[in-house]
Amino acid sequence: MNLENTKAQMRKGVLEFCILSLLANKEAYASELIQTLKESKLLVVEGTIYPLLTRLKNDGLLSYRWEESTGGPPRKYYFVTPLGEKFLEELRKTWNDLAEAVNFATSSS
Amino acid sequence: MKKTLTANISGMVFYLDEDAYNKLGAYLSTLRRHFSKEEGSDEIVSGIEGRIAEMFDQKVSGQKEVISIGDVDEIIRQLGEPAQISQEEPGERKPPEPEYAGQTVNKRLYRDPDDRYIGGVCGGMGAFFNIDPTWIRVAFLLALFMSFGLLLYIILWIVIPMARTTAEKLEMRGEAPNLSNIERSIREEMEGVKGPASTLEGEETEKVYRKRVKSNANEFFSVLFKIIAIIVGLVILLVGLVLLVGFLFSLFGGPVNITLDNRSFLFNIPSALETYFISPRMVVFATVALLLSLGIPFLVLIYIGAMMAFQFKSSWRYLGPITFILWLTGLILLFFVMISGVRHYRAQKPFSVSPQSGFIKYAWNHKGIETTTDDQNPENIYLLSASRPEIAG
Repeated sequence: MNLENTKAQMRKGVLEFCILSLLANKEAYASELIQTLKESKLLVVEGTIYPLLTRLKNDGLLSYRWEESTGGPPRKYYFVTPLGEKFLEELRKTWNDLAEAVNFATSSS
Repeated sequence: MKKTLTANISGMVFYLDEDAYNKLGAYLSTLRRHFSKEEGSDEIVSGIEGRIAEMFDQKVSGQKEVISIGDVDEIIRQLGEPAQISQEEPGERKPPEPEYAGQTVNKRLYRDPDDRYIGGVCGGMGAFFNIDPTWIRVAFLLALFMSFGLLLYIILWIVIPMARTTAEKLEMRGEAPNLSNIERSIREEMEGVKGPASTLEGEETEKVYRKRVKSNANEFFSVLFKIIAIIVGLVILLVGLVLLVGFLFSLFGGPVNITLDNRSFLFNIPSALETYFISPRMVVFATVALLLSLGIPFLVLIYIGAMMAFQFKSSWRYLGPITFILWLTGLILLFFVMISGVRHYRAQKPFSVSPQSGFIKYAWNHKGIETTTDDQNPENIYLLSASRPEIAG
């Protein structure tokens, strides 16, 4: 059993949930998201976030607007669409159930 | 001292060391390849490029102006190689693609632009079957004397694509198109361009070394091939010239006496066309169509022959496509001219044909179609039977 792989598998499942939650609180561009996710150790390589954001956007859960930045290249600010809100609500419920179940399973052993 | 290159990343300009530039280029091309099957792949890669620009921007502020390979390595470590990205990313993507895992890669048959005498067919086949191209060249030469070699070679030349990009060259050799291989390959190509300079510096890559050793061993074959290529090229050149001159004469020269079944008559293409098409405009069209559709292949033959005989390679990359388009135009024109000719022919009442058309009369009589001649004008032929001869027959 590869420990790193198992850890990565665990993180994988919650990454979309976390991104949607963060963006539901406050719209952000990729680098801001990367910083938050890296601080909370949810992300190891930064490149991961780009295909993920694009896929969520193509599925209609996210949308974005361009904003000029001083000095750097223009930034894409992502925000959650109404469809994304619903999706997030479902994920939140599932997460709560899951957390409870995991707590139960790990504490009773 | 180091060479510095300029790169435009997400609309911002950066100065990079040469090795940093190559590494970044290779990294971006692996990413592009990795995401190529994904919807919105351009968007993903341009997002990552934007991030790179941001990070570079932080690095160059102040004293430092040039991005070094260390900076690029650091950025790649942060962003992750494609394999790492797909490991971490959720979604229904298949587990890391085999080509990035390394060993098993599909080889593809390409023509090798770096190892060629004529079109690179043998070099590419050698890479594909993993044998020395010399043996394939020997086999082709043997086949040449058994008459089908040339045709086979030309067909393969047309059908097999040239390996143009670095990724295609790797695919040709069956190497995984991952970062390190692409980087190595680009470096080798640059060494190849530098030529003796790289050997002077004392850093000879493996491939360059291999090539040198091989060329020593194959010197004899190499000279032999050159000589044979020149001879074959001269023959092709000559055949092409004869064909072209003959063709032009038949189009623009005077009529030729043809003897068939002990009867002789005058024949040349314009007069045959004039009997077929009534309007002079159609004759002009038909002549142009013939000129393009038959003349161009002869010209190509002459060009190939000259290329082999005088050992040069065409440097103008649009030559092939333009020739092909002209030839195709000729074919299409010919097709329309024929259609209109047939239509015209169908609409005609029994008709007379001009004096020079002994050949037509002969052909008709041969098929059992009755014709008669005018007593006053014995050379005019009249079609007797009401039914038209079948065009196809």
